[in-house]
Amino acid sequence: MTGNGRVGGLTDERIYEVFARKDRADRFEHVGTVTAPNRELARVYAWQTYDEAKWFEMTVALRDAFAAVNLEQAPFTLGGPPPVGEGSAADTDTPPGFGTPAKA
Amino acid sequence: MTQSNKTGFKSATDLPEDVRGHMGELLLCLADNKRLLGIRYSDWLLGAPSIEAGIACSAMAQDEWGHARIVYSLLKDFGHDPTVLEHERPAKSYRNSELLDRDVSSWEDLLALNFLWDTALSVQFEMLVDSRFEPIHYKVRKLLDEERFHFNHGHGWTARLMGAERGRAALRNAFGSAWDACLRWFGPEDDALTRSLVEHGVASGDADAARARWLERVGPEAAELGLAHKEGSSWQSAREPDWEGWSAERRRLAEGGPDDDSLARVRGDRNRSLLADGT
Repeated sequence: MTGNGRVGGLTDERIYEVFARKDRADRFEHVGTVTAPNRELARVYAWQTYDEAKWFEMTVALRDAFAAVNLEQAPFTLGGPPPVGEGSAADTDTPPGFGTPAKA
Repeated sequence: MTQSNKTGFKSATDLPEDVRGHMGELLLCLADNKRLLGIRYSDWLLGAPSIEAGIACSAMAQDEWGHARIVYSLLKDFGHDPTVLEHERPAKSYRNSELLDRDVSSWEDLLALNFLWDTALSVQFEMLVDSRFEPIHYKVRKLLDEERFHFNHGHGWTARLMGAERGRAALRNAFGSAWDACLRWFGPEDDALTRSLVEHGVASGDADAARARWLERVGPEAAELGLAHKEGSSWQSAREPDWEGWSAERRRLAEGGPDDDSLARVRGDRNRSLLADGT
């Protein structure tokens, strides 16, 4: 697994971030990730994997859809690259600066 | 004449005798299929192509056993003893599809059960959503709610395998083998059982109506495998159901039943032998 949301081996698999809330009044919380080849399976996997609560609402999003804002590290990652300055992969990436589009 | 605006049946004993008989038969077929399908899903907890798919199979297995439990318990009011139904019948008395008689050895065969067969069962349950037989309402709605994810799982995987020629060839084989059993499940055009249920407002569609709905559901994918095509606005099977050897009572081929291993598992034989009092 690499930081760009792709999964080694199965080339069509992508990492999806899973968010859920128990009640209409709650905010979404990040409950975990699933890897899936398409959005339809990501929805199924998320619902059946993170079934620890009776969720009012659950949603999934491609990890690739998230743009890091201050830390050069994908948000929500468990076991993602370490923070900038500790010899992480992020050090070798070109950081998105003003006027520089974020890398795909 | 439509009967849908008539008052409901509050219990099985309120049903006219012949309708009660027909409904009991249909529910037993549904329960047996759910129970066996759960076993087939459970065989893929390990060995599925990804951890997530294994978890999905585990969840679907639990759902199916839950659904079977619910329907078996309903059958008490149709003159059945649930203990006998669940634990004491010989293979020939089971009403499960021939597709479920033995374990499936490949992921694409499991997908045929997931996408084609599970959907065929759901369509039959959908015919009972607005049933005049009221005790089933809440149960069917909850069950169909869970089944949406089974359909998405089958559909999502089918779409994925369709994307590559090897996967497509595997699906063509697996879906082709399961196709006839699915077509037959709904019954022949003049099926007396579903006709009787529709006449009394217990089911909302007869055999042909259910088959048409199922074809609509699986048609787009089946068409890519040469099993169906669209005519005007309706989906048609590429081949006619073959009724040779079909049993109206068991809603499957008369020959066969769960194999020895499946039967022991479905009845819980080995674990029940641990119970000291033999109950």
